[in-house]
Amino acid sequence: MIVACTLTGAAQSPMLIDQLLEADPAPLSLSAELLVFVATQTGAIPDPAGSPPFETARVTGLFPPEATDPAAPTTMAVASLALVEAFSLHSGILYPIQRNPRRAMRELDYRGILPKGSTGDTRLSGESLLRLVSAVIAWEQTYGAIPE
Amino acid sequence: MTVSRRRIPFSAATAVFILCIAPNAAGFPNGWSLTLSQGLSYAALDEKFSSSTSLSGSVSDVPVGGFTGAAAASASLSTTITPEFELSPSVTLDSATLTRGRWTLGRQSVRDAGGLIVQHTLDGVTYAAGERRPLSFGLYSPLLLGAGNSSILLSNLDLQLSSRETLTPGPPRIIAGASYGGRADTAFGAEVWFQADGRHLHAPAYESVIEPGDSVDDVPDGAGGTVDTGYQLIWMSARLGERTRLSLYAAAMEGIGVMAPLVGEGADRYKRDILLSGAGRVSLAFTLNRWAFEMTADGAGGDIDALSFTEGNTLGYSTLYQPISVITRGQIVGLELGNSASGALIVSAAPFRAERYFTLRYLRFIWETRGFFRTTTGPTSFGDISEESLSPYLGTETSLMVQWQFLPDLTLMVTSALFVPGTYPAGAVSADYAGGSTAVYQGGVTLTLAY
Repeated sequence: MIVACTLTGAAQSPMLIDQLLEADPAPLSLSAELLVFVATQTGAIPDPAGSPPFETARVTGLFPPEATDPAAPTTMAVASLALVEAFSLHSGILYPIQRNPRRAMRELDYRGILPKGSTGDTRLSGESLLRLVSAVIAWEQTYGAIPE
Repeated sequence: MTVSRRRIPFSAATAVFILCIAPNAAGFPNGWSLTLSQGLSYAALDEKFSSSTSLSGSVSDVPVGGFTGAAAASASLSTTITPEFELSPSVTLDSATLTRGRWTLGRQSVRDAGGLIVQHTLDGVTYAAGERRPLSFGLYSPLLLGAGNSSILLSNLDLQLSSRETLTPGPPRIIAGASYGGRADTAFGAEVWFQADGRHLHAPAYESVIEPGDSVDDVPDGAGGTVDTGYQLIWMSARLGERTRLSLYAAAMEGIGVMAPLVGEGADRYKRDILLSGAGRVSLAFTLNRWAFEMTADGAGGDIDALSFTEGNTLGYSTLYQPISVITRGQIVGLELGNSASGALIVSAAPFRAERYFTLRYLRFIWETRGFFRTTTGPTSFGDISEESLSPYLGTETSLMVQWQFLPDLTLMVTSALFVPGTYPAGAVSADYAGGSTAVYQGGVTLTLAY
């Protein structure tokens, strides 16, 4: 699994992957740890320097303002916005004007990353989130700036 | 500048747009969409450019009390640029429904499985029975309110205030239907529809076209009256192997026409006719990698006439027997289903694997060649048929469409079409068609922004 190799090599906590694999659905607080780490690695956000990941995700715009409860389940909408922001994965003319989960999902869908049948309300398990991150990394390796 | 057609915007449509835009402030996707489309086309036959701007939106899964609400609306502005400037605005509430369990109430799209005959939007209620909803039935009942010299037509909620002297409103209808169909790879179904013409209660008099003492046989066609129509449809769609699909569709239609009221009393006051007709379609589709091929043929014949297809049954010309609503075929010809047939080969391809430039995978070419025929020597919706000709061949149209979604929210569509009429005496089309030209061109470009 590409993302497992990528993440376990550099993850701040080796327990994170295990915790994600066991979480169904994954709470936002746990997803934030992964997504903030990824966004930090891509340079989309600065190193949080000890700030709680969930707060960092909210402050930096990885998570939408509506995501206020760290215990709430991670949805496809929230994860899509975080990944599009983390990888600057947008080409639509409307996304820069109004960044929101709806358009983020459209960006991922256009690239064939979004699983079929996904809606904004789809709840993600930790494993599903890892697969989504993996798909984005694979797409970036094929078409984007990340070398294989 | 002349305004050729004006519909009074219905406030519910405005409400739908507000509903569409409002959720965007919250930022979450919750089943709504908004699409803006701008098109420009040229028709060589009419020597005119036309521009069309349309905005369509929909919402779904909206909690409304204990119901789940959904709505779709569209607005368009068509502009003919030459030879004369015309504006045609329209606003339509396509659907607005409340669903609870298996019940759905409100403005709904009424469509048969083949989309060949019954294709309309009416108000009513439907009930879906069965675990996977293979069985459903419904009742739809538009209203017509009239008083004095004016009438208000509540059909499709295209609210219009009209004078009967200048506009003949569509008849009030009660449409009931039931259908059954499987949902597996090999699907089949049967549907039954019935349309009652509500003007039985208020049949217009047509004394002017007949004289006292005339018999029912003296009532001319197009003299008015009412007609009730029944439809029985069967269809199936089966997968033949991994790459091939066969679809069949057949419909039988019969009507009981009550023609013009005659002057006088007694049982012969009305002319009654039993009208019979049929329609069908067969298509074979084959896919191979990034290519798709489809061969299809359709046709209809019998007691079908073509003076007006626009409003389904009758529109005041009830000696005609017609489907409720029909599809058109061809970019230029636009032939409707009535005393006509067509056969087509459609090839579509998205040929680029686009391993490096992924946007090329969304570049699609669609090529269609279709031949048009008439099934009887009666009239069709194609208006330039030579009265002397007995030939069934109308002509052949070939079109090429290029569609490219080059950005996630922008799609470009380029359409071009060429129609070569089967000009009399070789075919049925008048030699004066297109000014004696052997071919007619039409092209257009449309850019669509998906909000």
